[in-house]
Amino acid sequence: MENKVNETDDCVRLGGLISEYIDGELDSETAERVRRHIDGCADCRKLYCDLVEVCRAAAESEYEPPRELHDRIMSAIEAERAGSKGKRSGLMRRRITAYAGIGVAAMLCVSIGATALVKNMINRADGMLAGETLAGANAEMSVGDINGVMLYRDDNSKGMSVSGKDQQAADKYSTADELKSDDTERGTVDVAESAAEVIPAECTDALPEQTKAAMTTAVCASPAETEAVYSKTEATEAGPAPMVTTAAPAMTAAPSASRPNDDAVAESCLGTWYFIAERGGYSLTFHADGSFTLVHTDSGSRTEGSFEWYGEEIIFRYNGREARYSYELNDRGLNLVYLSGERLF
Amino acid sequence: MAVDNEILLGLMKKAASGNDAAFEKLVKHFEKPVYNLAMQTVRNREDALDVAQDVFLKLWRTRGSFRGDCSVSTWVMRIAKNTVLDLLRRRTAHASESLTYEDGEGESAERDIPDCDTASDPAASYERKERIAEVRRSMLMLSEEHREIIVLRDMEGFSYSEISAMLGIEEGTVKSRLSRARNSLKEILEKRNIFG
Repeated sequence: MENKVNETDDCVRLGGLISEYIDGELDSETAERVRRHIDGCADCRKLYCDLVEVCRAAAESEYEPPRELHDRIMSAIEAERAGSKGKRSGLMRRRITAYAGIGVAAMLCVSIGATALVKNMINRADGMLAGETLAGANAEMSVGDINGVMLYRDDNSKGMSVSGKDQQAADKYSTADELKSDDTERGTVDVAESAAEVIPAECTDALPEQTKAAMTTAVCASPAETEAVYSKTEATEAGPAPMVTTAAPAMTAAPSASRPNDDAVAESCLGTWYFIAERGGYSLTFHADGSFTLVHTDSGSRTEGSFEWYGEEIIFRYNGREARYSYELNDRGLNLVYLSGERLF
Repeated sequence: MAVDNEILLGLMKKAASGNDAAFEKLVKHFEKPVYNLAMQTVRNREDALDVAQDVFLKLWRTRGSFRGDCSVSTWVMRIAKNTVLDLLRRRTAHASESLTYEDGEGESAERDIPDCDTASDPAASYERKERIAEVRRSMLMLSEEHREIIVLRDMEGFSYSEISAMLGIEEGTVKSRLSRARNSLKEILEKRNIFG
């Protein structure tokens, strides 16, 4: 009787380890005990044989992917790569024709650095991903990190695409004169007619003459930032692509951005935002208690910490680190531009 | 999944710096487990193909952001799991109404089971195909959790620690869940007289 009770205890204790025993996941001592029990217990021996058969049957029922899958995947990637380049070309043309009308000389002959700047601005304006190569005026180059992202309220965070009207304009006109001569499209040009609308005077006055001559219509939050952009551009012209720092992406009229006080901003920003940054799709939730949750949607990984509004900056603190971003809340969304510290995104 | 993570890590790094051949090797390596995870959950060949395509597109887009704080397999299979969940959320589920896997034309998808040496023993080959088809149908009767863990362990050979990381559960939970899943599948197979 006692033996039967012990057998049952062993069946419960050791029989429950049969699955791990099959997988070789037990330490040698426990594995040996399980093995001896299986040898001596008919019921557990049957269970062992059945589970081995289950594992084998499951493995055998693995699907072989259809041959078309690999080609389909590689074609999709190629299409995405080609599609991004095509979209970029259309956008570049639109900006060039729009701004040629305001007398910015030789947009197509600007320095490689400035071309990278334009590219970054276009990408940021349309919420496109960074890190792709650009066929610039004279050579291919890599665009460095984009330091700003636009956050959207709904999960339509693929970025803003060129509006139908704009794309039509871009496709239709190959020169600024053609664009300007068409009254129906004038609206597209008008908003950029005056450089003063786009470039605050205090941003340009401080620039070196060489830079002014080659500049594009960068919209900067401050003169210091403009200077930072162009000094980096000049310094690295001969070398690798610069880490371009740019600000608000307005390519038409300067945005009527609101910079409310901290309380208003805090309240307006509460809740969840969606965006695509260099590393993929994210959701960022500002909680009322001053904490935030950042989720990388693809991997599901989460970062949590606290945030603080500080003048024109927002400071994220997480895992003993700190990251500072400038912010701008406008009718398009919440624009964050990396300033310093350990990047959160 | 016997390939060392160091090798996969090397491929990821190369892919991140623009090496397309390295990325293609990653695709070849993970095609089968991704497809199987998708197929076992969405139970429809076309949807499984769509999911697999989406997974590798996402992998391509984020190839530069992999920081190596988990294994490459974990990274890829997490993307796969989340992509599958996204699809399930988007579509209306009718899974319980059908006990067959369907391809786009609604036919059963057992045609992917290769014939084994039909010249010498066509009967045995037929029996094998039938058995596999039955096992797949039986898998449908498992809960999603149980099906998923059998796919990851018994079909794709991921380790307990990898599965723990992929699913975001403790290793102890992996062990107990796998044991229960196998026992559940055993009972189903016995009831359907597939073996036992």
